Amino acid sequence: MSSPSGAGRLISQRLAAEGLVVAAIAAWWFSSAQFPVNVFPSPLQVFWELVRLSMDAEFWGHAAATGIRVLLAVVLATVLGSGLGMLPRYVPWTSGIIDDVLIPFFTSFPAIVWAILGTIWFGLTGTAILIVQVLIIFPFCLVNVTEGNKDIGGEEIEMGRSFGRRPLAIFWRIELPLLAPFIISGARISYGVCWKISLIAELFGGRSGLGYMMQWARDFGSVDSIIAICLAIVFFVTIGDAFVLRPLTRLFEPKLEPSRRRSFLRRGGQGVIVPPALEGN
Amino acid sequence: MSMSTPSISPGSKPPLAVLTARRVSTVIFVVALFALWQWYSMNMPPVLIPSPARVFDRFAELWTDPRNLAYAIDSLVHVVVSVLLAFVLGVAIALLGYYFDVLDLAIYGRLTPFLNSFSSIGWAFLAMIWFGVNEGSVIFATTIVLLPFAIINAGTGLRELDREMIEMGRSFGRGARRQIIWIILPMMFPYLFATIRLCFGIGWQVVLTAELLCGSSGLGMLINLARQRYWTDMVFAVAALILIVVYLTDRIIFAAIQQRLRRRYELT
Amino acid sequence: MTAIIELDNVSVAFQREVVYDRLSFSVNDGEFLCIVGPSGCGKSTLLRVIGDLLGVDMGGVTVAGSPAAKAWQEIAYVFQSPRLLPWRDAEANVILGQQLRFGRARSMSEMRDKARSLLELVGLGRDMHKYPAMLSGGERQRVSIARALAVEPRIVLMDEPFSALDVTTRRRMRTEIVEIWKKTGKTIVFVTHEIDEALELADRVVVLSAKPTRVLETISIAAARPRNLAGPELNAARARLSHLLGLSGHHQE
Repeated sequence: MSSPSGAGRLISQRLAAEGLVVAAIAAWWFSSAQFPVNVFPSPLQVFWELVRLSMDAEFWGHAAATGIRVLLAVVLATVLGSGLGMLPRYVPWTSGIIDDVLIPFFTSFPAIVWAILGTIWFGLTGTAILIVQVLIIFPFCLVNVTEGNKDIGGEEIEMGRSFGRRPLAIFWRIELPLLAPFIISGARISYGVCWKISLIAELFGGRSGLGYMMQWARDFGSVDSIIAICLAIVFFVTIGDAFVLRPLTRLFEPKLEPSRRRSFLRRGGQGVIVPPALEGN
Repeated sequence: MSMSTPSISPGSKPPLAVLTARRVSTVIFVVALFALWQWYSMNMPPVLIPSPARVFDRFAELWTDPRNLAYAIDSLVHVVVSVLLAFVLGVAIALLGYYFDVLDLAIYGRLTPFLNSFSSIGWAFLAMIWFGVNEGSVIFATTIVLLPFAIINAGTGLRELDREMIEMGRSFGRGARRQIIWIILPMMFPYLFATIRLCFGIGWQVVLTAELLCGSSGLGMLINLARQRYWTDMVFAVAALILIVVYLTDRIIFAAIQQRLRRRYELT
Repeated sequence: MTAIIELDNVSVAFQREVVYDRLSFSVNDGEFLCIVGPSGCGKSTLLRVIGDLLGVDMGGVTVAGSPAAKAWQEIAYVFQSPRLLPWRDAEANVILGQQLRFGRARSMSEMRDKARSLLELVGLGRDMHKYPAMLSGGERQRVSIARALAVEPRIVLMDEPFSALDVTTRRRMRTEIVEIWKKTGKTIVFVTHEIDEALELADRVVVLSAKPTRVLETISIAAARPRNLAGPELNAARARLSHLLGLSGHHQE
């Protein structure tokens, strides 16, 4: 079980990872040659479509419409989900309602039905889409915060209460920071889901947005546009996750001692430290 | 819909548990919701809010009309087939990453994030263009949407495996197949089960979308039909059916099995 | 006496940490060999090297006349923790070792018979169908001893198998392991950090130094079993062992 040294391992993993990407594109290229363009376009065509879209003001308008709605929906859903998730802490009798009614209802309610009901109830408006998106993604935050609520230590809160009884201070200084990792992870999941699934809302209820654009592309049978828009969405999700949500996650991560990795070799040996003299050899 | 959660262990039931404040408030809440719905539907056109009675009639129709029942069964088949496909593929890919360390970044740094952020509507559209309006498209789209969940869950299970047990297995025999059959898969069982449970929950959502967009048979198509004809009561009835199916399978079947698994696999 | 295990100038390093620097010793066929050494000197790693669970960087390991990589079939392990699968009962856990080693080459009924007779041998004849969670620490370790013996190895490697047990159980297990060794005639390599345990069990004791590890001395103990740990011969051996281990501790500082 001797593993190769750390650096070599990283390099070979890197090679394999980029190799996979290259192989996937090559396979795409090769198989697209067997099909007509309106069924399976080649990577090059999709690339030019992406270039065309990126210079198309209309595309950026739709992307902005979707982006702003996603952002708003995530913020609203996070606030709503966290608020409801924390409610049982202060109003104990609501815990049954949230655990046994709201969570099962909202997690299993089909997204597509929300989308349809949204158009029936609110018409083809941006607000309707926003409401539908919030309804689809807020259970993710609700589940996370409810779990966190059960998980976070009564000890810290008891400690806080031993120093002072102002509930607002305990909430701000102790409870919210303890729950923050759960809230952020809920927001992170909702963000991904919102881009991925809640575009459904735009299919039925939209006059703008990438979902609407995709529907349009489908009606015209331009497969290269559909793939290009999907890739653009992958790009937007990745950017948002890497530049906003992952830093936020790290910021609110519980600062615990680094988990000690299990190792066959160190087990039993109590803290073996190599004498400095040996390191030179 | 106020079922007792199976997570309450039978030993710890206090006397008259049925009447705890928590349960009473839950029941009152549900009853109040239905009352509100009834009252509101009386003042609204049925196209917007159908009354509970109308929805119930439609719900009964789902069971009595053989065509509707066939749609429901079609959807169930789509879900089961896609979940199984995604599960087998996901576990295979995770095992590949486990045995070939070089693939770690390729799988968890490239493949899964890509699949995870690729729009499910996109897959549904592409499936329809590639494979036409049929069940194959629905199953393809659903499987590929579920795949990253399966890979990530199975991969976590593999990473959490007890290294000492693996070493014990290696000390007795070197055949990879025997290791997988006798040690790795049984040890992963709780994770594998959780993966299936998760995929099943998401699978319903995706199957409905795919059926609606690909226009193949199934509840999704029924919803689309109902939408175009403004049968709001039918939309409600299908939603209720799905809620009940998902809730019952998850909370009663899956949760009970998981509870038993946990008891069996815990060495204390 | 023929050597069944031979380590010839074995060197192992992990990243920058040198574990063994040209370590050599041998184990005779059928003997009970104990390995003692300061904590963290790589005693368990030594068993992994012998059992080919860990490769060496330099030198050679010969087991039963062939390189270690080819001879793992001659060896079975008893680990510090019993490592039983919680979803299998005692009998099925003993069968597991055989399944892993023989696959279909040995029939199920044969494996079951083997498991039963060995569970009898370790004194668990009545607990064959208990799950690990229902067994005590000592009983679990007995199951893992039966599991090791069931694959009919010539060599059993034991890695501080009794260190997690309470004092009374530990004492009883020592007596029993000697009995089992006498009955089965296996070669046993037994890692321990307790001097008295080595004195009670071993034909020979290999004393290792702190890292980078080498053999400080090999002490033969000829006293008949059951041994009187307070007798003059063992007292002398104990003094020697304590001296060696204490001295190697001084070297560190």
